[in-house]
Amino acid sequence: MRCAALALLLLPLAATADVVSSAPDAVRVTLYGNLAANATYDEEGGYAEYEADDAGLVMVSETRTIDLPAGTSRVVFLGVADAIVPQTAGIEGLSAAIIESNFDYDLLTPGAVIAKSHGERVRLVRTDRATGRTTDREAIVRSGPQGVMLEIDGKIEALGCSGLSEKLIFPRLPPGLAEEPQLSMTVRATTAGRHTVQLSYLALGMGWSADYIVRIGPDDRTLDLTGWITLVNRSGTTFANTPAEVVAGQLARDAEETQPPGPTQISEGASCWPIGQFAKLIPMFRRAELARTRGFIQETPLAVTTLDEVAVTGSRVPFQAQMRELGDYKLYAVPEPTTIAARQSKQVSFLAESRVPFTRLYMFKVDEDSIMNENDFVPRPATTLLRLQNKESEGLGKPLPRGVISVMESGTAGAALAGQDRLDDTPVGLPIELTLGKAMDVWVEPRVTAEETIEGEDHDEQRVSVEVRLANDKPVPITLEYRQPSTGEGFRIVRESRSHTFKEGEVRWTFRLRPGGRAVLRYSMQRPTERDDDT
Amino acid sequence: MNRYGIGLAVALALSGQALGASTDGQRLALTIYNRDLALVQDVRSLDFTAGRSRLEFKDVSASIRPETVTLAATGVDIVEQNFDFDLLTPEKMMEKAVGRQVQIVRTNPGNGTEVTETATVLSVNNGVVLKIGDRIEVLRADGAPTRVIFDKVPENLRARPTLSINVQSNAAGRRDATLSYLTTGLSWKADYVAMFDEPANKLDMQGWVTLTNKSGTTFNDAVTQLIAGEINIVRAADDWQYQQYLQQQQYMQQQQRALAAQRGGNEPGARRPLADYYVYPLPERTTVADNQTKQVGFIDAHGVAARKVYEYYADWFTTLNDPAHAAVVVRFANSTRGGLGAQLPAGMVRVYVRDTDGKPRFVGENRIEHVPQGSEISVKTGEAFDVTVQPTLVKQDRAGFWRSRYSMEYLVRNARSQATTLEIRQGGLWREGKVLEESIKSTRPDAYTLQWSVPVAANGETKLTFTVETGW
Repeated sequence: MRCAALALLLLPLAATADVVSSAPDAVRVTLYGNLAANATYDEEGGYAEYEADDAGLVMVSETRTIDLPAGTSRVVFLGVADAIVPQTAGIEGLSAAIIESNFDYDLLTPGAVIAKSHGERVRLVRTDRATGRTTDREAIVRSGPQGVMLEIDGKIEALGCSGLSEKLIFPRLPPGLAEEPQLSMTVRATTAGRHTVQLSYLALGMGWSADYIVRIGPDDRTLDLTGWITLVNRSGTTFANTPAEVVAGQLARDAEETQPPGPTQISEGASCWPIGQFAKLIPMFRRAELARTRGFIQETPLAVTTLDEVAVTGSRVPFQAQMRELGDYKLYAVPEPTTIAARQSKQVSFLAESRVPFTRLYMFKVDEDSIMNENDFVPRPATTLLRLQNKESEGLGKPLPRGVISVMESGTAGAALAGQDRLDDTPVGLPIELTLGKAMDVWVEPRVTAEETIEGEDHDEQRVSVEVRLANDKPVPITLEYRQPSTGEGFRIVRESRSHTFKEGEVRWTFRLRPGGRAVLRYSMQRPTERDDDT
Repeated sequence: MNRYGIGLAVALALSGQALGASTDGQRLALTIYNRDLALVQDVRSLDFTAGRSRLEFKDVSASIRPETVTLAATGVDIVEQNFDFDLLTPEKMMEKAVGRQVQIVRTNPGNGTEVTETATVLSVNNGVVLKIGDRIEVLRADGAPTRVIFDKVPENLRARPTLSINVQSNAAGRRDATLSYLTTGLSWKADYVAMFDEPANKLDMQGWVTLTNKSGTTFNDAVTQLIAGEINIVRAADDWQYQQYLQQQQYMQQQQRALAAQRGGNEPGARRPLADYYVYPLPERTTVADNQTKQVGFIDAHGVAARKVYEYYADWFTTLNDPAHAAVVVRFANSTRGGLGAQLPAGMVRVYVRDTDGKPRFVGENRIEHVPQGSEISVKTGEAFDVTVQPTLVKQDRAGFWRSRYSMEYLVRNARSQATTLEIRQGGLWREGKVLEESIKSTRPDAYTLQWSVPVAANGETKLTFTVETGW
């Protein structure tokens, strides 16, 4: 009676015509995020600085052709990137009013089919495991998917609790469930016509990183620096024959707000009545687990961190990414359209500088805590540094996006890795100091020779005197820098055997040591004792 | 159950599929608040019987807050409201069958023959214990496939939570009834697209409301309005999502302070206020589907006066070994004079610039809180690659009773081919903080902060030095 009448009224809902844009005509991608593709962890195991960017960020700009009828229509955009952030989707070049933009992610899953089939007539097929005979009954879905109850001939039975081989057959798909999330816009055009539009949006799952290789020349005075852009696609979308560009610099990001909406996927979890103690041996039909192994319950595609393939395209200099300014960032355009396949990483060169002058020096930074109250003195190795100036006059003068630098030293048996360091975004004009590792033949031995309290009128001061032996056992002359952090209120050097410089909050003494050379540094530093009773 | 005897008529008001299919003059109105709350007003034409009757609403939001339900219709009084959330599952079904008879159909695993018996369910604890004739058995203890057939579904087990209302109607007949309730699972926020034209010092701004429905229910053809404002909502103390939200708000406020966020508004808003909040009605009826985000435009402003500034904020006197990059901040006002006379509800501002090919490129995003009209808004888009600051604490001295003296040096480098200015703000001043000397004249936005505008030539550098004394 009334139910039948209501069912008929459901039909006129589809008032607007659907216009399906099945694929873009052309796509351009702009990658952000400086995604750390090669997981090189620093010594503390920390990678926190890069973690926020791990999902990457890409701006996808698509050119699409749409034939719009006059009046209101719903334009469905198929073939967008799978990790699209729908609220960032914008369209240009459409001379029609956008009434609303929708992103539907009610996905077609076994659980969703059951949830939307309450009260529907389905068929229950049972197969006899012994004879292979099937029985086919009409049933009405009464509940589910967390435990499915069926009405059969006016009686109630549970699905998947009997131990029989059972399945449901649905006469049709419930409406509103889609195989993949769907982006659509409802637009109103005054006249019918063809539109060429730019659909652009942000998506996750793609990013890039800069990687550098330094080759130190045999003269130990110049080096060759090559820079690579590594494009990483961790998403399931392949971008074929696409102009690609990357943006260097730190963008303000909100990883929490700018992310694809998570579909609430209903799993078809089994909840049967308990099966008793005696029945322990019966394998329980765990539907949820089954669903997971079959892939019904999807892990987020971004969680896939293994890359199926690493492609290296051309190492020739002519195919170098070209830099241009983008606001306060640097944009590098990949020289030719390229295919970035799903779960692929790809490298292109963006920098190749040869014979860049540098200086090698050795550094030791004293840790006060480790020499105070210490009487077991051992020589400690100094750290090897490479110092260069990012200036054109110094053979460089290029913006250097942050990334990992691998330094190769040329030895008698060919090149060898001398160390890796992380480079921050480095504009032109800044000095660069690369830390390579510990030097075997350059050592420093600091020891505290006196610790005194100097009594003053209004407060006492602590004076610490240090003697440092420095040695160069290398067959070449070296420069060695001894660094004393200037920390604490009222810190000052009150006595020294050689004059110091002050830089970056450190007191520094510099020595030039010939092969086999030795030197001794003596200094005293003084600061007020801890403020406990300031009267 | 049937407490009113034979006289009770059960009117299954617009069951299942009926909701929203704008039938029978059914009209839905949604008022959606910023975070996870909506007021649903559902006007239905119901055929009441005189006297007592029970109305069942199976199709309300799956995330309904039942304690907020009201039903209003002429000549109809509510006797009681029930919300049944005991869901029908096999286990519940079996528990309710304790002491009752069920049919057991056992299939012989060897030859497939079926034997049907009547059993009484004795208990459902760690297994189902049955009494079949004189025997006591455990269901499926032998591993043989065994079906259990129940006579009917118990009254209060339902496929989904169900709202029922017992009413007393003074007359029979068809009348409009308004069912209203609060539901979670619906929320909205604003997303702004700011196309920034740096050389022209202008931006174009589009505002979109983004509505998210995770309530489990589709609302068809609803008249929808959105409320901007922080309404007070009583929450359970263990609502971890809400606790998380509060923490996030606190963090945001700290961040805002660090960024000189915005100057308060001084213009009356054009938007229609509802008490102390602002209302954004959507222009047309719309269907808010389950698992959907929907966007509708609400601001489209062109040529809004805007400028870019570089900022650096230090909350303490300290040395950095590596230079820090200056923050890039786009600053504009939502005043009528500036070209954007509108309140801005809280949301994300995403900033784009046009590249040499004329196409937009994304340059950064940040959150804003509710911004009254006439305010100045600062959106940090990112860090400048080419403008860096290297702070050095040159000297730190004791200056008497709980007082210290700090000498700082800020080396500002500009690798850009245009001269620029960096706004450096220094926190860390406490009791009786004062400047002893400085290379550039400072301003004092508040008692605890100093600010300098440091000009830097193209491809040049400028050193800002100052000494301050402060108590602590």
